[in-house]
Amino acid sequence: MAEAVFDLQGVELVLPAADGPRRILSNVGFSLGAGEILTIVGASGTGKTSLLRILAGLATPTGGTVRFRGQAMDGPQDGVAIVFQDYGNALLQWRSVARNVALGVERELRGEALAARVTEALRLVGLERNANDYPWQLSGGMQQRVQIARAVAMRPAVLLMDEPFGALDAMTKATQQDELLHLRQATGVSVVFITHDIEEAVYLGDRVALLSGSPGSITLSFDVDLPFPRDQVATRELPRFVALRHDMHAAIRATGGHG
Amino acid sequence: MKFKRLAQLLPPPVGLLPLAAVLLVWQCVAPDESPSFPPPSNWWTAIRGLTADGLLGPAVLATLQNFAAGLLAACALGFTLGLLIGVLPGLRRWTGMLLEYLRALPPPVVVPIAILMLGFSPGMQIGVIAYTTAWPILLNTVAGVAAIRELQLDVGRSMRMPWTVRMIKIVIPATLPAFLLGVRVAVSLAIVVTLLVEMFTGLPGIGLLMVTGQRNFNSSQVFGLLAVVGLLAFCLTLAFNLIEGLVLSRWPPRRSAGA
Amino acid sequence: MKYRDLFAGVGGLLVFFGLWQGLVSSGLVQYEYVPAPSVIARGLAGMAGGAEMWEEIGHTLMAALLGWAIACGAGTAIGVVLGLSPKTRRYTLASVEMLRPLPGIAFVPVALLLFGFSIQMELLVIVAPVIWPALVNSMGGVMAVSERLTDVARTLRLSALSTITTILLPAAAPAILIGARLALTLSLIMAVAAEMIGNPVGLGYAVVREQQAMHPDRMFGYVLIMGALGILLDAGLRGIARLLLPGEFRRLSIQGRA
Repeated sequence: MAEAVFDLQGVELVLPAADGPRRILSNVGFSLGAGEILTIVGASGTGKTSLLRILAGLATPTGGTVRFRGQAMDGPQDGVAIVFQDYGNALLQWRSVARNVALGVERELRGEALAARVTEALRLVGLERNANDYPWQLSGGMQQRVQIARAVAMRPAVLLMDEPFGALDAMTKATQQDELLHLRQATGVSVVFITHDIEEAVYLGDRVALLSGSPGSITLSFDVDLPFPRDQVATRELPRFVALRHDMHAAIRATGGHG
Repeated sequence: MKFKRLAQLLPPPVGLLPLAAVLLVWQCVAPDESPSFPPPSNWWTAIRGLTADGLLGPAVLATLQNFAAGLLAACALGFTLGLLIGVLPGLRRWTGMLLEYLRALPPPVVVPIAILMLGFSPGMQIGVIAYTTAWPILLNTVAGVAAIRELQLDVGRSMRMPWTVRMIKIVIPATLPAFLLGVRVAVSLAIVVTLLVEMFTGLPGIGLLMVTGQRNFNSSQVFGLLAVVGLLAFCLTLAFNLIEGLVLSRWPPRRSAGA
Repeated sequence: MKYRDLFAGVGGLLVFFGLWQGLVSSGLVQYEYVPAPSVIARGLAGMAGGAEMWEEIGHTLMAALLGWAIACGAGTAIGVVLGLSPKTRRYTLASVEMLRPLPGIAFVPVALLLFGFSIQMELLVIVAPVIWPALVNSMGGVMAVSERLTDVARTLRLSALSTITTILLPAAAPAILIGARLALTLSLIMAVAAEMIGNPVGLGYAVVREQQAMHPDRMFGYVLIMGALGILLDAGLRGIARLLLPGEFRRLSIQGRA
């Protein structure tokens, strides 16, 4: 593993709430290597989204250090792109698909360079035919792909994904997972992928971390030694996959389970 | 395509039958010299008389000019202030009650105040129209800004857009449908206030013609002008619907088709 | 409403009137016809001692509420019928759309010709425009419900009448109430307008009278009363609606402001 892209140590987050300050995250630490897919699993209420917002520079931790390429973070960074779960609000509904994809790069690129970048990103997610449609005319899975294309068009070093496939049906979800693996293959992007789905975490990850408790902290972290390319049927039937899934369930049960 | 869009705005023309029937019965039943309910043919004669005297055209023009000037000023005022109040939550809280109270003043009573302060002038008329019709625009714009999700702004922040760019690319377009909803209310209110000022102050316009007709007990002229005003108001509403339809064709369809 | 919002809201009002008072009484703003709030308050106190102001409030309230009741009754009844029957809609909707934009104020000369200076004249000017929000909202409400709920009614094997009374009307009630609320605001506006340029009684005429008599303190006093009246009427209707439709109305009451 080369130089770490993200490096977190002892991250704390306390947010004001109606009934006084509330601790959301406690002593969270991990690092993300270049080209690596780190999946973070956690039940609802463990601060998954808060953690991702910290990585994105949208929230400032109240303690600990967050380093991006060796530098301390101060707000959103170049080279970091996010894919939100709520694609309905994350996409600008009044912009065509192509103009949504252009949103992150239209200030630096113009004319044909911009058009070429957008087309390239759309081709990567298989939506080049929908460039002139509007998001509200597309299915949920397609809208999420538009969001991924928008992130990819920025040629990020890191892709932060907040339960991106959580709202999709099982079939679409499987397709999207394979497309994400293919994308990493093609671009070498690093990924932090947040999910509550254990199987998804194991299937996608080079490494899996378990975020649990309230306030949330990382209670388990291990490498996923499953071969690439992964396959929706064959990989999920491997004894090793079943064993890893089993370990995760056991760890969650030991730390107090869901909820 | 354009004609199809226009046709969709209008209900099937057979629905005009009841209105036509009422007018027809009126024509047949009403005595020719009726001082209260003159038959529609007499309205037509009265209107043609006004046209021949060169009175109707300038009156319609004056009314339309004041209506348009007042409404445009109201749009600029309401949208700018609404945006400002919307994006500054502190200002929103502090002005909330004051705005609710000022809005609750019935628009007609603004006319005597304006006369006291500004005297009888076309400027006063436009000022009154602008002040009274800015309220629905302002309040709808504030509500529109308040409805923008944190996530939509996060998209811009994560792409490192300065706040001016976030305003132009995210906040303003996201507020546009709510703004237009306010303008819809403002259009009908502006017609009312324009006529009211003309009737009350004797400034030139259709309102003055109507009052003159009433003082001369010329019922045919009054009914004829009522029909002219109705037709005018219908055309203005239709024109607004058309413009709104064109502007919002890129936005997701509104869910409720209520008032 | 949170206490913080309440505090800030009242604070905003105080700042507004305080600034007004300060600017006028310090002489920074000298405008013959803009009295300081303290002067307006004295004028109001003087008027509240006599009977005239209360009679004027009573008259305008009566006209507005009567007109509102007539318009809402007729508008809602027609709206429900139109909402239930696509055929009736087809043969009348264009007439509705043609007449709906007709501004109520244009009825003032007609009403004066027909009824002279009278309460009937005010009622015509109120009912003519106020009927539309009641009609359109109840029609829209019934239409939206009937598509979703008539299947339910069919599976429950309800008769046509009980479908209407037990399912359609309660489900459409929030939309009907939105229409009634818009109508109430509009009723007060039209009553005042009718009194300003037509029937010379009530609050609308009082404002004009005081303006022409060059009594700006009393004129502003009447204007402030009308603002308060508008807010009280709206709050009253919302209170009643909340009693009738717990929960439901609160969700919808933010929509449809005029």
